[in-house]
Amino acid sequence: MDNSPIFEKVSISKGYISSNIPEALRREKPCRLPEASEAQVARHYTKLSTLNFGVDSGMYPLGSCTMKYNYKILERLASLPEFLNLHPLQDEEDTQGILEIMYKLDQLLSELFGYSHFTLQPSAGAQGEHTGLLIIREYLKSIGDERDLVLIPDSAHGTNPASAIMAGFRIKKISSDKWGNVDVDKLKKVLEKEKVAAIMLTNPSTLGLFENNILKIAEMIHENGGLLYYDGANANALLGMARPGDMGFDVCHLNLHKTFGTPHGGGGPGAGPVGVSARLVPFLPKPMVEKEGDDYFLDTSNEKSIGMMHGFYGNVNVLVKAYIYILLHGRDGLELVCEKAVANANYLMEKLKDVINVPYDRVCMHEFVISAGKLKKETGVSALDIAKALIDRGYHPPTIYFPLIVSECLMIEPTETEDKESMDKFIDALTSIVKEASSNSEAIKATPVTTIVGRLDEVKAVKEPKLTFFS
Amino acid sequence: MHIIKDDLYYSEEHEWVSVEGNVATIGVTDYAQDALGDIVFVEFPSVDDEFTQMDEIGVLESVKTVSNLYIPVSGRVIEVNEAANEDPALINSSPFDEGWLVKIEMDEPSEVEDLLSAAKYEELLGEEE
Amino acid sequence: METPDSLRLQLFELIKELPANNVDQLYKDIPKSIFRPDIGIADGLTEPKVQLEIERVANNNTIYPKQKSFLGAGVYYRHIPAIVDHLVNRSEFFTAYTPYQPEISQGTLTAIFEFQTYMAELTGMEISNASLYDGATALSESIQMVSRVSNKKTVNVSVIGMMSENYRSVLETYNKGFNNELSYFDDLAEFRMEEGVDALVFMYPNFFGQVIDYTSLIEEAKKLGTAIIFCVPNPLALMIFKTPGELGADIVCGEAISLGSYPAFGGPGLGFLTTRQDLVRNMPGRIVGETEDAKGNKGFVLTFQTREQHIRRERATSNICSNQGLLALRTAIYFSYMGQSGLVDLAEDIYEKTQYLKKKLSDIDGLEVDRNVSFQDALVYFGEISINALNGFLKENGVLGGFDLSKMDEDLDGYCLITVNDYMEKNDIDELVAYIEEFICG
Repeated sequence: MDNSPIFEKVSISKGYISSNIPEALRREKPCRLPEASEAQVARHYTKLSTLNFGVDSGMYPLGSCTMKYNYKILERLASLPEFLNLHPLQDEEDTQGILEIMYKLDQLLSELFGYSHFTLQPSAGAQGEHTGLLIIREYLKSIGDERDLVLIPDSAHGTNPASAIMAGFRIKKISSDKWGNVDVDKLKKVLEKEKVAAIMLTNPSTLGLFENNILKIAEMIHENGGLLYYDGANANALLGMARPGDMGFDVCHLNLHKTFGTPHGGGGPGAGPVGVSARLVPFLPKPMVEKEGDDYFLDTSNEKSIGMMHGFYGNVNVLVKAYIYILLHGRDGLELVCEKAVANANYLMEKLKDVINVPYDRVCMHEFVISAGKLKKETGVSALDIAKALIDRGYHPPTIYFPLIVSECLMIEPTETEDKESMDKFIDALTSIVKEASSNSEAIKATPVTTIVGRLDEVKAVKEPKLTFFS
Repeated sequence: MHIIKDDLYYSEEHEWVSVEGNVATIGVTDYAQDALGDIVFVEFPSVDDEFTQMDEIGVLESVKTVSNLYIPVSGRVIEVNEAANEDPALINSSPFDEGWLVKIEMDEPSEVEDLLSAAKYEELLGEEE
Repeated sequence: METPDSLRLQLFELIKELPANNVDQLYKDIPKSIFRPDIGIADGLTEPKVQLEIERVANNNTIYPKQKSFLGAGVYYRHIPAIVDHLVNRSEFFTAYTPYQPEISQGTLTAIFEFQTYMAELTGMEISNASLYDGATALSESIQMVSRVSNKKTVNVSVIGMMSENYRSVLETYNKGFNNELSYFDDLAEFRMEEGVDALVFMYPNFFGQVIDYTSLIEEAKKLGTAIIFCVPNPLALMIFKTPGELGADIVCGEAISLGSYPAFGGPGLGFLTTRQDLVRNMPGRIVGETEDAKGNKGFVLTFQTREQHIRRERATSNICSNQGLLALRTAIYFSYMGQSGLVDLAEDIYEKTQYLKKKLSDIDGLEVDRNVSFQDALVYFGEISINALNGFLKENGVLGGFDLSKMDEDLDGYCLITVNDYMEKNDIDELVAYIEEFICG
């Protein structure tokens, strides 16, 4: 079959063991690896790539993932040998180019989001959260006000509570009001009883709706002695329009593989830089890139730093791509990115109101949710079924079953790189699925039928695990 | 519509308890197994483990979610269902019979009075569904 | 071609279909006081201008001919076969998202399944995850795995063998949240096995490139029920040296950046974690497994997802979401291309070149060369000779010298890690030796 691993397509070596290693240290059992020609390798992976769906393949309206188009100039320039063949332990006089990019990226992100400095070390958004929370913890310790509680909305991404636990905190859930925003009254009650280290918020929320009370919430938390953490997964909605630093967020992380158009890679590498306000700068991971005169250098002198979060300096090549993205767009371009992202989402939402339930009748930001709850009751067709049916019609499905507070949820984020014609076709596709759900729900429940495999037995995958070719 | 058996006690965490002398048998309800989906793995407590009412004593895992098992009455574990350990699908197919989970020697048999009757549990389900 | 003007026109067309009159009305929820701030960054540049600017900046990086680059210490100059870059750059691979919709992600999923197989085979273990950020964070995650498996909130862990200062820093930073008891023993001889040690971490090869025989300590430790973790900063070594699996490891982690990816100033890296099958529920990271669809067609799918943050949230094995997927793909293609023959030959070649380098260096008066078995990195003591000045002299001659260890740790003043790579021949090593001799005499 086309999706067979290479082990099934070429012969596996019998293997031999090296004989010039001292016997006590010598490997005993040889590796079972395929022996393939370059042509066989080329055919195998080319075939595999045709079984994939990238942003270049079609519309990818995955809410909260910002699957915008990846400009290829990012790839070309980040792949210059002066970047790829640079060793992290070379002297600073050899690495002024990359240090310049890292220094300037710190400045650009700080200006764009309203912070004093950014650390570029975290390898992904989740690690950014972890880093930011460790910084908060260290800061509170330094002022003699240690607290162990972090508040997290029930609509939050799963990484938020997981990161808080890794940073050594306990968590408390804050429920949302009817608009999916933080319930300010409930928050007030909690703050009366508890001393809070931080609240972690996504703004706009994971429903794509702006936190109306953000300035009030910031005031409340700061009065309690806590800090605000900004999950920047939805930064595409505010790029150039409003800055989390201005809203009162003390710490923020960004996802460069979302907002700044670096490719998702089928699961990374991303990058999750963390921005902090002035009082938190001493605690940033080391080294930071600093400048003296015309020379850039790696500063390891900050004694209050939480330490390192990466074996070297982070996913540096990803940082280079994000830097190029910012140079390409600039201030005017990034504003346009944001305006179009928000306009696109509102356009889709407006048109879909006639097709399926849009639970929050309110101007959205860069993404919005629809619910198949009613459709499921009436026809048995669920969010999952709609997602699979979209695959047959040539789309990557939206995010499903997140956030948890909406039943049979689909979260749609077209991003700014989608054009109107493409969105109109998407609306048609969804419309046809909803129609067919009423007339022929069995067909919808059987999708996808055009792909190399249909719906896979996930129960079997757990009950009879086969996690490597030889198991 | 989910099955509710009249002669059992229930907890708000969708567990059932049957009592014989001072031994309580515990399992999860039909509603619980349906909500979980196909159960693939169970983390059982060990025999002789002692717990207080509402302690977390184990975990039920399906493909899409994980659910904690709480002990509705205080006591010592005297038996766990090996058959359900081998084949967790029993919990889905027969949640009240073959899919029982744990037998407890109760410390405080009067604690069952804290639990819900079948009628009260039916009311609770009405609200959730 | 799309221009800002054509974009604004498209915006205008969209707004017409909405209740809003202009784009600012879509932002009405944002408080006026913070809306449209003054952001002091330059306007955008055209692609040709960006190209020139980045080329200018890149020119301020200095790279040396690969066969004359003797720097290693965890990141190595590997020859990446052209086919790897070519295949990975197919946009269906690199612009795709995480394979949560398996029906249209069989490409990524099959390749990750291969990667998992390769890492398990390489390390002599039963299963692998789909990658972690890098070797240092993978080690931290391995320690947390022991904590979960042994059902202890905090664990007592001893690290045996020289570890890079960077790795230690990452471990300590992560430990601020975990509060485990971490001890470090640079030398096997410094350590005495006792009860109460929950896990031992063996650096293999260690940061100095040394391959040490830990068998008797492992035997002792296993009798006490201690978990055995191996941390492998240079996994190519495992093609020819005894694997952690053969040595009794429970968990193996490490850095696979040099198994198919470029140094790239240290990142993105490729952390890996392999372990025993029975520990699967405690393993962090994504896992791909094989299964079938309703018609019996074989397919691959993300599995054991209930361990992960998007389901288990605060009880997850780790917060990790995006990992190093594309690099795992690179390693899969690299292994498929190289095969056993390619990789064993390469590992043997590196080992032989390391021995040759050490032999030639030991013939130089004033140098002390490490006598342990070494792989790729060679530890050399220069005594009173200034490594910094030597490296400056080498640079003048177009050679990138080894890593001056005093930069990482003052106590290691006088020590240097000199590293061989895929591209060097014996005459390149001879040339380095000649320069060193010239420097010492001159």
